[in-house]
Amino acid sequence: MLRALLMGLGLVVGLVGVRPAQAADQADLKVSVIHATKKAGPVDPALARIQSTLEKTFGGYTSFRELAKHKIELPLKKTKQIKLPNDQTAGFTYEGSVKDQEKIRLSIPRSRVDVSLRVPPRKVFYQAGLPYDGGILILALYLR
Amino acid sequence: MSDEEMLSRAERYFDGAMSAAEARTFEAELDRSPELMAELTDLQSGRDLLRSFMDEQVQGADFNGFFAAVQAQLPQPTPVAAPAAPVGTGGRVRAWWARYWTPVLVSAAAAAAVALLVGRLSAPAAVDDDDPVIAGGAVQVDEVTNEGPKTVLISMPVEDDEESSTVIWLLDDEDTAAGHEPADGEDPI
Amino acid sequence: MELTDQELVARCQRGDHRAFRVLVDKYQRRAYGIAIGILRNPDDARDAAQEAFIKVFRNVDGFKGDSSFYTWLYRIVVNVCIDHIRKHRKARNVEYDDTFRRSDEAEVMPLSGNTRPMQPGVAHETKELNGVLQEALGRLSENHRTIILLREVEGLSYEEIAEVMECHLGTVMSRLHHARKNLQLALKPYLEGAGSGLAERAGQGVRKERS
Repeated sequence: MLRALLMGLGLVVGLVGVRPAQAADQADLKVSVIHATKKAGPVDPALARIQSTLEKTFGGYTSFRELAKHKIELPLKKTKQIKLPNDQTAGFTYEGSVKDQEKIRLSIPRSRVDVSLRVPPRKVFYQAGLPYDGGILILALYLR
Repeated sequence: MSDEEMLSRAERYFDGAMSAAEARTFEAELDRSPELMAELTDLQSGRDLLRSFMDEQVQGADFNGFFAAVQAQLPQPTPVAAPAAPVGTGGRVRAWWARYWTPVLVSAAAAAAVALLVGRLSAPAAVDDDDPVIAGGAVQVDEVTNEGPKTVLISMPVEDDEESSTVIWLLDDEDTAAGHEPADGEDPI
Repeated sequence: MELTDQELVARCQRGDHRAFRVLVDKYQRRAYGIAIGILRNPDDARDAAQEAFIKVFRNVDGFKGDSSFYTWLYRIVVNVCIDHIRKHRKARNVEYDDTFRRSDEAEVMPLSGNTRPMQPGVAHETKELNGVLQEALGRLSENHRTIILLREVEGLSYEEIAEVMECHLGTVMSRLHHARKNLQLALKPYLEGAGSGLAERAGQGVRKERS
């Protein structure tokens, strides 16, 4: 058995010696587009589980409604855009992983803003503040 | 075919992800290509190594008491105590107790069981695995490029507060200035 | 007659604790196997596996049967493990400890009872190999380590892995490819030179195999 293990290891070594590694990765991004206002309103069932977090994070805003949800495959280094309700677009580029973090770039072209981030997977973060219909848009972002 | 393509095809065959027709084509190529065969052999060796290693980790574990530890953390059904019969007055009183109190106590137990069940059904699920983990944490901002008129504000989560998160704010100038535009050159702080 | 997982889950949903016990007994090793692969610590893995079953019990009413029970269970195990890593990473202030932590650190994890006892020299080589593999797995990201365990050790299909990790099929395939490559890369520094003799013996093995 040990011989088989060592031979297996040798074959792995051989493989490593012959072939350079190339990045070939992608990530999945979930984007929830939320409309927040300072008016009272019912809790959107789609957001029930994060309602208290939204209220805490976006103090002053009392009503949150999910307008759209996107699930995007992000191949490495390829930008994908989503259309926002305010006719702007938001772009996302997956830039690869660094140990336990994923690198992602978020851009809002019309506002000429570009942010490069390192995100541990499965951690929600937000982009907020674009005005919309008496309130603001919040993008809840979740990278897998 | 590049090395990368060859490895990808070998992986798909190895993982059983090819259609029957694709697999037949691949198998015909195997006979002619020692490189493809080497790829497959390497994939198999890697898998065998990992399986052997992981099997050892599991076989060495002790599962005595595993279920008991799980069970200890589960809600237990509320036990229903039988009523104590009154002392000393004999069978007729005991029979009266049994006839009168037992149905009442059984009903109470049923109500308690229903309440427990309703509570369990209506309580928010302890986990929904489709949900993101809302905890805050170390989202690191590497670079911000802002060539537009908006102000970018990054609010970072509060340490040890699992509910706080990173927010990248895009704000119009009126959101940031307290109603006063500094004149050119004036220190706004 | 042995009940299927669906039947056992249905019984659990009706409050049958014995059915839950059967499910735990059936899947505890597999749950532990995934947990120890991700967490690389037996105590943490045991805790995570137990926590996963507690979550299964608490949420069994919400299980609709859209997926198989074991992919649902594995998803919970993976999520519990990743939560654990994140919470403990904060407390450590250093990069997550890659070394395999055991109470009896000096001993090699014993093999199953039906293998012949190894000669001391062979036992030493196996211990070294185990150390190399532990280190190599530790160098992978959580996502890559998870996906390679689910595929190579648990034998899940791409579709099942996509269910467990809640991602697209394309993402599974590319991540698996990337993970396999990274594992090979991680093994490389420990196999070239470094005086362990493993590379030399492996090379001889390769020449014999291919001659």
